[in-house]
Amino acid sequence: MRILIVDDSAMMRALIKRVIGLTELPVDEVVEAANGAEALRILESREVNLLLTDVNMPGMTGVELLREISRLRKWPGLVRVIISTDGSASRRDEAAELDVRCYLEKPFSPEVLRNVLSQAAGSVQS
Amino acid sequence: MSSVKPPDLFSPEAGTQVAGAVVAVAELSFFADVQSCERGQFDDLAATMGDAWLVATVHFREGDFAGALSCSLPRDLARNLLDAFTGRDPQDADPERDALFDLVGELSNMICGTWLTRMATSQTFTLSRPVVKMGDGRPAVGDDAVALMAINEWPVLVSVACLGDDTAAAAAGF
Repeated sequence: MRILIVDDSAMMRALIKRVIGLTELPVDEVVEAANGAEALRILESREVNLLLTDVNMPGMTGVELLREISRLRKWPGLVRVIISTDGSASRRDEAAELDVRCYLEKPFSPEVLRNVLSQAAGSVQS
Repeated sequence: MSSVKPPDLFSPEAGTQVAGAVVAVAELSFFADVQSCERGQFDDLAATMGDAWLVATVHFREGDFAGALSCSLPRDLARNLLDAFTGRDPQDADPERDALFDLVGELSNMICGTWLTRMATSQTFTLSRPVVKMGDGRPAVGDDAVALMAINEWPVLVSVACLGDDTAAAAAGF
């Protein structure tokens, strides 16, 4: 399984990567992007199974990224997860329309992230 | 800045909600011990700190309202939190400035986002990228201070200002 982490904070990417490393999930590679545009370039260049994206980022936001992924219809098997400080009901509704499998609100405990990753990994494998 | 404060975000309860957001973020993401301070306790803690403080500001917009949340904390606390967040060994060499700034920016981003989510309005909010800078020594506790906290026994000041109108918000980068 290849995982793509999209967050403008290098610290947050490092934390998520560390938690992924603590799971026993079959992860082949973890790739990082600092915004939606970078993430799209990575998706175009290699196979990714699980996308973990923040919402508020400069350049191209997480919502814009997810809209573009839906519009392009190139990655139907890509499991999409939002990790954001914005836990408002309207944002969650918006995510639901963008084929997002899980919505994880920051701050989160490593255990919660681990559970989300396990659920998402199950979706990738099934 | 405008003196007109939107009732939902700047109610008397705001301070309690901001303090709750600091507790949630510090405990969950940084595994820290955190509690609210009285003014005297905060001043006593701050007096023992050096002049190296960091200030992170996040601008936000919700509906027609715009504001800014700022967190001021000693550089030593930022390093302590960085170690907890990344699993860094405290005995390692001083972290790079960018790493500390990124960490403090993410802290303020999470506090602001958690607070706005807890204020439970139905609208989607927008946060700016955090702006982090070195403070001018110990921060003064002004009228916009909404939460005085101690994280791992280091002082943290959180302030919220109302920008009030579109012009001010545009100046803030929205």
